Amino acid sequence: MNKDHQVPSQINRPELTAALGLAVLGALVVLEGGSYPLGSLTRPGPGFVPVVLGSLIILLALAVAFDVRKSDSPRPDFGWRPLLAVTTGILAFALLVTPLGFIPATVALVMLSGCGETRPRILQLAGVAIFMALFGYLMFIKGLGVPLDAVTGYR
Amino acid sequence: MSNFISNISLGLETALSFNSLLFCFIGVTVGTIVGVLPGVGPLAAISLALPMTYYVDPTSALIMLAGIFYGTQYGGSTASILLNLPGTATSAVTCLDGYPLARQGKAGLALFVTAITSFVGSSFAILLVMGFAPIIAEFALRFGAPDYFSVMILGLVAASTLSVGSPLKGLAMVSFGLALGLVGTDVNTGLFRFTFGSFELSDGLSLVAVAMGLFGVAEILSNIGITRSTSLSAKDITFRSMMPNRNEWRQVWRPTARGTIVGSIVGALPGTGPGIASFMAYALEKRIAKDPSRFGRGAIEGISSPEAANNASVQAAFIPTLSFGIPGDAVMAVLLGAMLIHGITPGPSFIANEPAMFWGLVMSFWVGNILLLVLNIPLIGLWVRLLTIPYHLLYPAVLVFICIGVYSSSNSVFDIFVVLIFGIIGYIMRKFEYPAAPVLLGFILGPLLEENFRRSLLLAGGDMTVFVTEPISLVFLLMTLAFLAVSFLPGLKKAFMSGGE
Repeated sequence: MNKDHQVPSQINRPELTAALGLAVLGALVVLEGGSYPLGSLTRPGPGFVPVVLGSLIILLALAVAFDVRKSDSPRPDFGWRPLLAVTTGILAFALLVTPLGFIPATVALVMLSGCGETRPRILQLAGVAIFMALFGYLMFIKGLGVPLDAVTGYR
Repeated sequence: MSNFISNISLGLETALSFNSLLFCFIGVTVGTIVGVLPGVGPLAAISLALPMTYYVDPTSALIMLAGIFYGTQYGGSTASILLNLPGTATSAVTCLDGYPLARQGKAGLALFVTAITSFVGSSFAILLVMGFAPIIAEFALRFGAPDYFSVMILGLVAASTLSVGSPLKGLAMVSFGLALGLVGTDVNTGLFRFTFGSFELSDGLSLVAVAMGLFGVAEILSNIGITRSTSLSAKDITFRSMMPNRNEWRQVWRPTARGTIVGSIVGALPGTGPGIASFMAYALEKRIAKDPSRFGRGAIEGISSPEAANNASVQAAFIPTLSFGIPGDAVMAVLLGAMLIHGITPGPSFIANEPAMFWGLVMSFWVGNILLLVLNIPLIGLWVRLLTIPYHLLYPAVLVFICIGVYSSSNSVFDIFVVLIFGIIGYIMRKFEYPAAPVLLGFILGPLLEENFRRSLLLAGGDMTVFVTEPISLVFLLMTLAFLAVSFLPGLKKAFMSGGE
């Protein structure tokens, strides 16, 4: 756990930031929880557990921060491209599925998220999109009766 | 005894009904597929299947979800052996010796051995479930609120500290999960908490959405762009090449027995999952081996013991889940969530109140494990071909399943946004090595924990010492302290994990 015997002099900034971010989250839980009635020990109110839990998160986050402050774990390397592609894909699905229907939303999701790979194979992805649109339509809308239009106005 | 026999026949009646057989088959088949494919975990699969179970009766639903879980343990070894990529996190240990065996041309043998040892591990643990779960449940019927509180604390602490990685991060993640469980309506007062004026949050965060985000989307995000070799041929794996010779049989059976026992014990502890079981079994084999240097170069003990252990632990994990209502790991937690969705309260009275469901489920384990043997020995070629689907085509398809699946569980777009947010959170957590399973465990147990905490205090008139004056509760809290001591005192942890590297 503590790597004091190696004594790397550098502060591990990314790790520290992550841990302190968690502490901030704990503080928010305490703040929001404190806005509900705390009650008493005999009759704990709805704010009691959130305040205790939020404080616990802060304590643990600080302990983690202390533990990792000089850890030698490398700076995490985020895959920005996958992150962006998958995020826009899911957002597109969520925003399109009610106004346009399941099939257009699915095509958008597959084509956008498929661009997470550095060299997306557009034709192959189009194949997946068509397959998933039809398969999903048959399975979820026809089979399980999910109340969604395949394409606006047509179920 | 006659009672036991009548229970078994009741269970068989349920398990052999057409519906149960069908859903068991679907479950183990899906489980195998998910296990074989690296980059799609059992948790994502179970969360995906969860909305579909709304349309079937609770017993069939449970049988199917359980089948997915133990099915993945069979399939998980396939990718480990053939591609050196674990199909599921729990089969990571199988890569160590499974892949070298495949490079020596013994892939068939390795696949056969893992299927058989998986079956042995499972079978033994199912017997334990049949024998012990009802007895433990009867004992647990005497539990009061403080005892419940403490056993849940034990489960949460064990699950977060005993896994690989930093125990502090694990504990922090359990607390994060508990906090997520606060969102929604307070049971005691009806007050909306942490809903920030959102109507959709008044019922709390959706289990399906949180699980699919943390495990489905996050898993996909971390797998995109990893190149894998797909130069595989199913033709190389003939039935003849799978059969061990006499000498190999002899090498296999003792490690299998040891792995089975390790896995059963680890699995039956609340809060510990199959990952720890297979890791400990491997460490044990290496430690007692005459020539430990063989490990990592294709030692057959190195695959038989952990594979027996992870399957045994998966089945044994049903003991605390079904008798206490305390899930052993995150998958069990989702299963518990599924029971709650279907209006069944898991816990000590479950076995007594729903004998057909309990015994039906347990007997379906036998059916499922036999089906898995068929799926994994004669039909292995089918799954090997599955491994040739490139990931860049697979993951967009899985994302479609995730989106439509989560939509169908609530018929609302809101949950798709929840999936996305937790997907991103889960991805960041992975990058900083914060474990995700404790989050889910905390999230599901949070409301139960709070309820029992508040009830304990209410009944004790505000006396906090109630948790240590009640003997059962005290025992669990002492066990919790022991777990904390094991994980925070480096020397003790080393002894416990007995020289794993």
